[in-house]
Amino acid sequence: MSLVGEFILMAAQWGILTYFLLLHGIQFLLILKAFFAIRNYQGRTEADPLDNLFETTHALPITLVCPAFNESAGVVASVSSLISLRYPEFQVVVVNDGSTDDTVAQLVAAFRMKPTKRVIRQLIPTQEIRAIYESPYVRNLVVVDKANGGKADALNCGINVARYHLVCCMDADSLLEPDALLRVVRPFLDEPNTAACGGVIRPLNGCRVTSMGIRGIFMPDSWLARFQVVEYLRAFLFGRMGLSSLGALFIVSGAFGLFRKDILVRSGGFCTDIVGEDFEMVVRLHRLMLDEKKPYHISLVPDPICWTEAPEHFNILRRQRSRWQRGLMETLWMHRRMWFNPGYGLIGLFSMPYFLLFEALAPFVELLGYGIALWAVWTHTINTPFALLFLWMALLLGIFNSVVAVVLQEITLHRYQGLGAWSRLLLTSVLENFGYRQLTLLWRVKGALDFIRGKRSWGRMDRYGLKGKEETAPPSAL
Amino acid sequence: MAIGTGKHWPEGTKVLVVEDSAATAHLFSARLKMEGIDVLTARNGLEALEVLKLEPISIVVTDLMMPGMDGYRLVREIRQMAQPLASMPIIVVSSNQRESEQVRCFEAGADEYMTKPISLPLLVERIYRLLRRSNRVT
Amino acid sequence: MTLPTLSLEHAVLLHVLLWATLAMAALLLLLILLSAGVQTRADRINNRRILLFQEWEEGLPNYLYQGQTREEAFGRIEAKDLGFFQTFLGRYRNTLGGEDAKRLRTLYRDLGLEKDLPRRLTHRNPVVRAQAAMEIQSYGYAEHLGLVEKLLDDPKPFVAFAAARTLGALHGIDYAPHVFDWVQRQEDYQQDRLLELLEGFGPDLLRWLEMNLEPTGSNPTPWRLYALLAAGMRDEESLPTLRGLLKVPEVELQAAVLRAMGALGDLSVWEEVRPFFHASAPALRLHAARAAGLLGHIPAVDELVILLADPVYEVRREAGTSLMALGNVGWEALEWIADDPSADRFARDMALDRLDWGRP
Repeated sequence: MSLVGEFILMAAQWGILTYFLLLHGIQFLLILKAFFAIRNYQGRTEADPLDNLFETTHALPITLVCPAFNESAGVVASVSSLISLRYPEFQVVVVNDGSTDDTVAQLVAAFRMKPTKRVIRQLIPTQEIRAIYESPYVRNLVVVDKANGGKADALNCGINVARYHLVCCMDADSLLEPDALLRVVRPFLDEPNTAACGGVIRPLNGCRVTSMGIRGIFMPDSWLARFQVVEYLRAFLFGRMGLSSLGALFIVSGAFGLFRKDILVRSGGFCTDIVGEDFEMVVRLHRLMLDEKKPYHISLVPDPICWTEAPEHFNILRRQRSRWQRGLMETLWMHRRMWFNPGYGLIGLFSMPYFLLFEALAPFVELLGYGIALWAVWTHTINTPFALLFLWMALLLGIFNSVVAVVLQEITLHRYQGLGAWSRLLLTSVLENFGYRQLTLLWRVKGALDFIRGKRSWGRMDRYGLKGKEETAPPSAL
Repeated sequence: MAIGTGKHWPEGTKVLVVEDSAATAHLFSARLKMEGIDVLTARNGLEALEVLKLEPISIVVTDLMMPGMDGYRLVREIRQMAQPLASMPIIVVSSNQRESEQVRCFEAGADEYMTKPISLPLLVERIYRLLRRSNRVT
Repeated sequence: MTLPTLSLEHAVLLHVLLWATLAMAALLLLLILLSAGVQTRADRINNRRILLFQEWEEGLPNYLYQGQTREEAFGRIEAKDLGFFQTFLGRYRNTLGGEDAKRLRTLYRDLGLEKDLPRRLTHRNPVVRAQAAMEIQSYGYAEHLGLVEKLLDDPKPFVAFAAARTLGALHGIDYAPHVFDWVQRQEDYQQDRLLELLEGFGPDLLRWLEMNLEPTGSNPTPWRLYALLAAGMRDEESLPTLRGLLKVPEVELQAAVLRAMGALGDLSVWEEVRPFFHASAPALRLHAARAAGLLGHIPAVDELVILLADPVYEVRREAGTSLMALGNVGWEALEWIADDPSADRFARDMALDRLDWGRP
């Protein structure tokens, strides 16, 4: 082997090892930070219970935007539970995104709705609205029927229609706890200049659902779902909570997030050409506020308030993961101006590089690591330093982080009941690293390749900064 | 041990208190029981409707803001039920002081609207008066 | 082809890995024990609290309505449980008024809980500060309002809000300037709840504003708040001032004044409101239409019918709603337009819409 070749391979091995040490190290630190942040949060919420918030007029009115596409089977039940949420003043806007089934008819019949000829100002341009329905019986429900344009477009339409200054964007198939709005609005009361707040999404699989919300939290039976439970705990709860407490939160899940309407409009609304529109919106919010040099705050609420069905079917999960990876890379690429840019503070110097190195590039580095390890084993034995170190890191450090996340979750948020569930959770967090992680790795590589191969979106910069085109607001009916 | 105010309540008076705050419901309940009358509680409109179907209630005292079915919808629902339930006396007790809200509840069919904070003896008086006026016995 | 291996000694490496694994296991164990310990302690405290609350819940009606003393109703309250008792009382703070509230206040005072207030108002935990402010409001300890005023500049919005609410509810009119300033500095989207808070001051605030705000020429914005407050409080004494404000050529201000005039329900303002039906700003036409409906002034039907064909949708809608509010006359006007094929298309649409809406 040539000297250069040897040098490269040696460097690669050291590089990969350092990479993994850093990756797991940072994750561990984030998990720890998250633990303290959660305890802090709990201290705050225990002392000022939700009943207080609800009884007095502390809370701010919210519009809940729920895009729906071909949901005729469950839409009436979902909307019924939405309008029953526990909150002093709020509105539900269901946006039918050109469904081909009878979603709208179901809603109109169930809530005795009538069409109104309301004219909606397109603060954010969207596909054409065909009809708007309201009901004299359920005053806080609006159903908008529009031409198909995708979830982002439906959200934008809902934002246009929204009556209140806080808009909560959610998925049609998310299940919200009755107190969800009370919890997610808290940061808007606690921190000045809060621009957005996200909730933590939890897998619904295996839980007992009643009309009063989730009444029993159990581990699902399917292994695929179990692995996702652990993954959600580690990455979505602790990972993001850690970032949030550093002020570097990057993702507010599309399944549930509360935003200020004026900031959403100023940013141009959700981007309709990409896959990860929720992620992109938050990045864009950071960018907008940092560009405008305005103080702002983006929070995360660790309470489990939003539940969604995690895919239990292999192919669906596969597609979801490659889509997520593609969305991640699309967004990062779209905002490449922020990479390592001190003008964007912590986001530019920490969050973006972190996501670039440890999320976007991770599948490749990991794949390379496995490749080299296998090569090492094949040419020598398992006893090569690289193979040993790499496998030790990939497995043991991975297990360590998963178990820490699970243990801390149980201790702070106490959600899984019974010793049986507890031990199943622990076992899953160990087993997760023996196969499941490697699978998701492959799927993410596929997603990344999809991105590179040209499913890119170019020049969406004209969306951001619609300031010139912003129409004047309709006469205030305050 | 009906130490209460010594009122002469109609025979078999049963009050349904609809309130999601357990502390408040308990207090209302305790005070009313001192009068020697029966009290049942429900945590929201849906539970209240269940109770109304099963028990002979004389009067309903309900909060407005509750999860599930709120007080306003409960009032509407009751007024749309078959007699004699439809003419059930209803008192709304709420922290919402807005006149628009009060008007809305009266239009839906509520008989009385009291804004929190309230004094419970006063509430008891109102209940008593309403029952006497409507001459309500199971 | 063989992979060039890293130059690490095998035995040493294994040794290191083994020790690292053990160290991590130990760390994990430590974490588990530590956090479990913390959590069990928290659980124990919580259980105690629940138990105490249950006991006190039983005792409260006896104290309030059976004339029992504190000792009889609640037994002996230990010093370490005073915090819990405070929270316990806090649950009834917004529910009980009148005589019951007085009894609670006596209880509060008996236990010396109010002595703690100044210290809690400056506590480093924002929740404690906010709760102290709220207790001052519930139990009426106006002597501490000076300290509460300082909380208006608190970094946590919910603390400042609690302070502002307390100052308003206890009618601390001396602090009104500061609160009013504070309100003006807040975000637009908080407007609704801030107005409610200011309404707590009552008409005294309006009188104060009339005397102390700068004339509209230099800055009309505070006057807009004045008008909105007058609307919320339905304060008739502010009518003369409102009439004067209506003449100021500021759309936002005039819209707020029109709203107030509608809310006050004094028909004598009709001739002053009427010209606004033809204003160039849609906001003014809208509020004029709404005022007509609120005033219930029958002759307004003619003007409202004209507005039913207004180019702006929101104005048409308001005109339609107001016509509905004018009883039979308004309803008939709507029906007449709905049935008239030569009527303006938009007017007809709106008339049909409103009629349809009004039908049960």
